Amino acid sequence: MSDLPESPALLAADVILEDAPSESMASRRTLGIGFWIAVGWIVLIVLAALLAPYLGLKDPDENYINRDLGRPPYPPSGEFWFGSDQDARDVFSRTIYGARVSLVVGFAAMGCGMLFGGTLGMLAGFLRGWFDRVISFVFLVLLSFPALVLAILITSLLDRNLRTVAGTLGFLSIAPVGRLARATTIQYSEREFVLAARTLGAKNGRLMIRELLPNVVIPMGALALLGVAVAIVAEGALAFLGLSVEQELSWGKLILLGSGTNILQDAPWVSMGPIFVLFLTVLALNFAGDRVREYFDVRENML
Amino acid sequence: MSTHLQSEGRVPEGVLLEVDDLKTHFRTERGLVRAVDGVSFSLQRGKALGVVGESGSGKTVLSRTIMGLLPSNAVRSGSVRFAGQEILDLDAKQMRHIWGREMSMVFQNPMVSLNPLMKIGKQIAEPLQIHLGLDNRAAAETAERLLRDVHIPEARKRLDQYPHELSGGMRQRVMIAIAMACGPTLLFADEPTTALDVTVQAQILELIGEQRRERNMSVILVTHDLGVVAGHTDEIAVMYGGRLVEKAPTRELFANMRMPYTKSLMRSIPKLDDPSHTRLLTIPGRPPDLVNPPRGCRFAPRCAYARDRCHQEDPPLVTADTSPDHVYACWYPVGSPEFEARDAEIMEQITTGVEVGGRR
Amino acid sequence: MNYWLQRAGMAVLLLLAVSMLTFGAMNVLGDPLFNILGPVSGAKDLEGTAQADGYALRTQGDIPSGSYTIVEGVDTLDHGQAVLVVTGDTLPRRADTIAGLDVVSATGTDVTIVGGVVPGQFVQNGPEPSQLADVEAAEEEFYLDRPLPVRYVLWLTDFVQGDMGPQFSKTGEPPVTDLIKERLPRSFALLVMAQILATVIAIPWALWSASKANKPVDRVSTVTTFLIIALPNFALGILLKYVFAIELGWFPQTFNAGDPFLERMYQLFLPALTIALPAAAVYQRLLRTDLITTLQEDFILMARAKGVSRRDILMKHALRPSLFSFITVFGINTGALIGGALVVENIFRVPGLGSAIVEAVLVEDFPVVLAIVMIVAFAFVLVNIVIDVVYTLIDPRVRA
Repeated sequence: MSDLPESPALLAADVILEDAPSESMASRRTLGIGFWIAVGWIVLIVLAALLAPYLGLKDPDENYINRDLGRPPYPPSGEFWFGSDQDARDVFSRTIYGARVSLVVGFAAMGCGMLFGGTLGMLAGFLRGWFDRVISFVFLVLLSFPALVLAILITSLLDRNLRTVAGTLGFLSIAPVGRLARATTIQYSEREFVLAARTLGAKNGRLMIRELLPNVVIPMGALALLGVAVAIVAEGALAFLGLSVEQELSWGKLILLGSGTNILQDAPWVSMGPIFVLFLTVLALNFAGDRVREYFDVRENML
Repeated sequence: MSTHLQSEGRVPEGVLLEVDDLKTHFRTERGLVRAVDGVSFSLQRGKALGVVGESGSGKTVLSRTIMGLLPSNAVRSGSVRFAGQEILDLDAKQMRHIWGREMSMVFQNPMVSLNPLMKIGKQIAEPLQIHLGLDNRAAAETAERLLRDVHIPEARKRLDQYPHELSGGMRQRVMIAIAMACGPTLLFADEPTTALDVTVQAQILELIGEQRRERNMSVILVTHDLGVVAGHTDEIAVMYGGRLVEKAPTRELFANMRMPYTKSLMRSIPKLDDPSHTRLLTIPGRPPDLVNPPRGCRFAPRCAYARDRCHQEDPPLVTADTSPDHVYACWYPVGSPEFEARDAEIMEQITTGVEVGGRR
Repeated sequence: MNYWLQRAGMAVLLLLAVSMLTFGAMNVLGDPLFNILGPVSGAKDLEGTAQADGYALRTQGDIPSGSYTIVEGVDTLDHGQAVLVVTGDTLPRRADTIAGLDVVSATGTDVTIVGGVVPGQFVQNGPEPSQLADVEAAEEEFYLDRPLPVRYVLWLTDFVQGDMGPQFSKTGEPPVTDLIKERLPRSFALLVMAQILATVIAIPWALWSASKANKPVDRVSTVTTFLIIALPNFALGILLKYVFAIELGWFPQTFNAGDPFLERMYQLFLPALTIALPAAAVYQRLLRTDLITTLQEDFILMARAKGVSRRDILMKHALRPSLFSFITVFGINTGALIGGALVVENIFRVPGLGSAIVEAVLVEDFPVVLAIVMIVAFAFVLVNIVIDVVYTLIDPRVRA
């Protein structure tokens, strides 16, 4: 067929939108430079968090009082890149160290959600019947709580260490991830290739692993990056409420420490440093996740 | 019986629409799509013109171009004079006074062309309020009258119904009522029956014809089906590859069609015993690529009667000897010795069982 | 009709499940008696030290030197000795905590644990044995001597009658119901204001960018939504507070419950905006996409062919059919916004439900937590039913 927009629908859209020719197909088929910049940032921040003790950073808990600079808090300078807090602790180094908890919680929570939510959702979507009904109701119950309220509830009942906080957020991501896995599985189990495999006598377990798993994992994986961002933000919110990991620094806690009216007035950089890094990280994760999703959606359409 | 809302002083007779060397090109990533490529014709007040062609022939774009409903990547050139006024250079804001008031359009699919969330009455009243400044009550009364005009039973009740409560045929009647609302002088009907059941198709065409006669309105009926235009138009224009390839008064065309393309269209008219949505794909090959149209006659690559000259030189529109109103663009038209010679060969092949293509 | 009955039944079932889970979790994982008496029993001034009451054992730092004996029961009370009151419920967390004493004791503190590590309630270094009486009184008052299912039914009976019970404190005052009555309206006002703001921002924004789809301005606006969504609300709240309340001084920094109504609404504006902006960005993206899809519908072309103006096409023809996913997400998002409100209330010192639940969690005042969780879940369910009703109002096709 020609490119001619014969369909009235196409014509109307263009008429109303007065658009330029839409995005070129070429740009949709690649992930684009933005994606790689985003991935670069994520890699950079992960590496920095991993290698924090070996980077020659200032000790995050040490008070670096500098007589020449007068009384702390010190504004950002060559010595204190993100400035210092009122105890002359280096905000930059604290932000890097804070990344460790934030990132571990973010990735661990999402991994947990993928593992359990993905499995449960796929099973529910594949087996259907009473199992599906029970699982779906459980998901519904979990989803009828605002996640943060549920997180507060659970963390309030536990000792708040890295394991429990990551576990709590992981638990919370089971329902949304599971629901998606279920929907995707149902969608795929009705496709021809699965039906074909079924009529050819494939066993359930084999069918699920060979035919369904790869097709469910791809869209799920694309969403994982978005999920990590959500988990990082959730940890931040918990920490901001004083309900996250108690012993260690995290971005949320750093922002909380810099958020008092007085310190915000005197030394906004104490909170702005971690806010900036948190923002960039969430932005990078969201952006990369979005690109990956678009990328695979297109591929799916081309099937 | 009918609502005579036409304002006085419009062209009561004579030429209503003059299209001259009209071109519509779309800028796309693949290149310039020449959807309409130099079409000229004129239409008398009160007459009906059928524009026939396969999908991709440019017939829909032609009607949209005349009406000015085109996307922004379209480039138009040539001239469209409506009631003596050049309208090709008017912008959307200026055209808005013509849309719905002077020119209306009935779309192909009544199932999706009515706003699903707006009551029928309001959808009919809308142009009345916009163009004639009627208040709500007057608009509602007129809407009811319009519904009666298009033979919808229980018109009053329908005003408060939503499109999904009506059948496809009823919805197409509503569409016609909307198009008729302000008494336009020119109606475009773009495949108005394609989406409908066969039994309803005839009724809708009859309704359009009836409204045309009552309102002295001109109609441009766009369709892929020669059968549809046969009984409902005064003239027929056949389009292929963005060009007009044959045009003649209806009777003349059916009596003396010259283009082999027209003839194949003729052969593909669905018979009554066909299923209602049989696709019109009986001509072998595909419509030409409008980005890189073939050299010479655009139909040549698919034409069983094409000779070397057809692939080299573009045939001009020439007047037929049977009627001064009959023009066609073909080097070896139906009836020419070359055509007859080739035709004889083909008939021979068919009888010996070799499939030439299309429906036997 | 049938549908609505089913819908309501489902909602009740859901709320029951939520309440059971919450109630169960708090009574099994948490320890009511500890929560009731814990803070009270350690009332002695032990500043600067890690107190030897139940609380203190969870804190870090040194235990003051001295002899501590952790015993089963209260029969070996001696001056200067720590007492472990055991009530029989098995509470792993407390066991862990007390086991932690071993570690502390290794640093030179003389701690003796009698009878092994016993899960218990609190350790007290005061001399007064009146605690036992308190324990008994509390058990009676809070039905703690009854089995868990009975307690749940008792609680539920009270709750549906509007009595949310006493707070977990020695006095139990003010009753949770009073606390909620005081806090709820503020959070409600905050959320309503936030949703209104979000809608008021999102709809014109979406209409505008959909009408300019894929033009540079539209792309800029899409990038803007991306940036806003990437900014967590606690960070956004601080930014807004810093810029508009501290630097520019246009808005007050805190909420004052004593001020007149309009004044209070003004004070709620920044917090509401903090919640509304990311929501507006989400709504805008959704609505823009749906608008663009709707604008490609045939009936839009039809409207154009009728001579309807651009503006009216957007407002009268395209907007309504594009609202469906917006409305759905509006409902679902209410839950997320409630979560956001908890955080934002803390930034702007709005004494609403959010600050109430955080305060309650910190002192482990579970009846308050439970009440708030139930209110939130109820609100969420209610909003979603309302959304269903709005659906039928907006789309005649689902009315049938």
